[in-house]
Amino acid sequence: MASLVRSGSTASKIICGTNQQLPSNIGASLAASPKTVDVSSASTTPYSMQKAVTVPARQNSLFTNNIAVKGVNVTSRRLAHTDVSFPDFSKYRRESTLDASKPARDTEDPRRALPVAVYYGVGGMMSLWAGKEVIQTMVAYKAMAADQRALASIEINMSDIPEGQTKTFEWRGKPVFVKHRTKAEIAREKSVNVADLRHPQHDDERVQKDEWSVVIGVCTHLGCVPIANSGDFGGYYCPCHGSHYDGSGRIRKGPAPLNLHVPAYAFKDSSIVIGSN
Amino acid sequence: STMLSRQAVRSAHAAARSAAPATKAPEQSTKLPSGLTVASVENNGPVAHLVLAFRAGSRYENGQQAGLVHHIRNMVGSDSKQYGGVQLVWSAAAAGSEIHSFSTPDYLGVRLSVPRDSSTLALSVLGHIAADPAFKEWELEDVLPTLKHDLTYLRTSDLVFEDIRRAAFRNGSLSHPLYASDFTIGKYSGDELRRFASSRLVAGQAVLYGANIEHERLRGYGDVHAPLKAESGSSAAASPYKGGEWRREGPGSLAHVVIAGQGAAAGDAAGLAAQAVLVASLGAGNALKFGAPAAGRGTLAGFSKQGDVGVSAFEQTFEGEGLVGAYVLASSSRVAEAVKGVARALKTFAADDLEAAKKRAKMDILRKAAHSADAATSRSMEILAGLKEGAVLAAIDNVTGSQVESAAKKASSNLSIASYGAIANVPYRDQL
Repeated sequence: MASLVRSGSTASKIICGTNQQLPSNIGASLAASPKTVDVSSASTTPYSMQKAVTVPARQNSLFTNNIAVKGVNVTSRRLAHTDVSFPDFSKYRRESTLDASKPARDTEDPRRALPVAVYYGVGGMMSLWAGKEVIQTMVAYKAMAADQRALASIEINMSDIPEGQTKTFEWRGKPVFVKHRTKAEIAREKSVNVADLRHPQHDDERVQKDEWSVVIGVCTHLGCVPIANSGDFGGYYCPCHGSHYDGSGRIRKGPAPLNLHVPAYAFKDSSIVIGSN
Repeated sequence: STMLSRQAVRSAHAAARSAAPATKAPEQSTKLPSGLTVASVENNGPVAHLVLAFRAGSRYENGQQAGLVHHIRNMVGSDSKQYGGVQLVWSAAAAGSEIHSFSTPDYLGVRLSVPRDSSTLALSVLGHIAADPAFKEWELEDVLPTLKHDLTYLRTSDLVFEDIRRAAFRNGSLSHPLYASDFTIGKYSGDELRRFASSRLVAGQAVLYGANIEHERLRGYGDVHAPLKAESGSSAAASPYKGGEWRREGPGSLAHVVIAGQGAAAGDAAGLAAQAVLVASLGAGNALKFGAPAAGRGTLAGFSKQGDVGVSAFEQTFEGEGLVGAYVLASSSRVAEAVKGVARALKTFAADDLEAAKKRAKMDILRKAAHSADAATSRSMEILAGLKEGAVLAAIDNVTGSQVESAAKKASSNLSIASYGAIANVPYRDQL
């Protein structure tokens, strides 16, 4: 092994070989041999000396004089495992737990911060959500039944109604007239003077598409159901008190005060959905 | 009432006295067709001592396998081929049993002591843990530290008695150590252990001995249920006494020295009897616990009276060979004269007060047979050596002074010496 030696003002580096300048016994390990003491013959009184020879020489009978005996189950061996060293896990422990003299209770809070956060934080959010689900289910139970709600809107196939015809449908317990108007009817309704009407509404206000007129079939006077395609104005006629409605459902003659109510409806592909919610 | 009248009690005592004295039931022995020897003795004790021993001691290792039997001995209690080790040991322990595995240079075995009532379960456990080990590699790895513990707890006397065999038998098989050494622990793979076990742990080389168990039950187990291979196995290679010395420096200020010469072989009852009388005559310190050392009698007893020296005669026997001599513990300054004195005592041994020595020898044998556990282990090894029950004890009565002296002469003619500790002053073999 190369070593650097300084001596005074010179420094010489030994590349190999022993360093001759060091004392010769450096590094020689003095192995201390354990001294075994023959304790059996430590005492030198005549009695002990004589006993020390008589016992080995004469104790046993002739054939067992030179016997080596091993007891197999004469003592109980307790295996203490004192050769097993418990490994040091300090590198893997939390710093707060390294001091064995501090009670665990003192370091409990920071140690338990993460599990507590997970339990109450995430768990809390999940409980709130679950609570919301429960309450919404209860509330929805008390709300309108699904089958009833299904009747809230009806779909009418437009191809079912040829031009010039009016068909009646039931919606929310009331009759609805769906009229497929011809071009002549449309032009007639649009040219009516709004100022002459009892309930002034232009036809554009009452239809989304000109050829389709959707009105609730309940007379605004006292609630009878008018008859479609009758009356003097090419619309509806209420037989109860003689109210005449035109092709747009507006009151023209008779006791009714208001035009026939136009429900909320929408066009969906080739059908009309009345009562879109 | 007159149920316990004085007269009635006296006559009951008289009747008991005149009745035949309680005799020990003789040992029952059967040789099974598989080659297994089954023997049992009924002492009417509450604890059954069951021993399954094999001729699989350290002498059956080959030259490169020193310490292999130590591995096998310590693996007793691990998994067997059919059952898990924990299963076996725990079920036995739950029944109240105590299991020891043992080995000598000649033999390897397992003793299981269990309350009589649970002896059926214990017997089946014994068969599996002693005769059918699996030596699984991961269990062997787990057991190796126990071998290291065994070495740590070795006493100096164990060390020096291993060395005397190294000195006496040189590189013969009887010199193989009972314990593995630091560099042989873990040297043997499971395969090597299994190979050793399959060649040595066979019925023809085994004895199943039970104290306090019915012979029929033991025989039935040995015949039908014991997981023993019905092979005869090979006999041991001879390891003749050569003589030599072994010196080992060690810590402390004392020197442990064993001086030994050739002794009687294990199957030779008459020789063992003479050797026993020789050892009793030489002296071995006080047999009683806490007894004063001065009360020890014998030729060698005089050395210990000087203080700073402890001397005890010892004997060991193996199949085909034996050792007899003395174990000396002395401070470095006294060891030379102590060792030379002991060698001189052996060489110039004269049998005086033979009857006292015989009585002491018999007393020694009987005292050591008093505890059934050790007696069971010992008897199982005697059966493998080919000794009949009480043969040595009976032969002591017929020992003559000349037999004892010739035993001493045989030993002292070629002495071996092994020493450990502060051995600077321990004499060499040619200085004895």
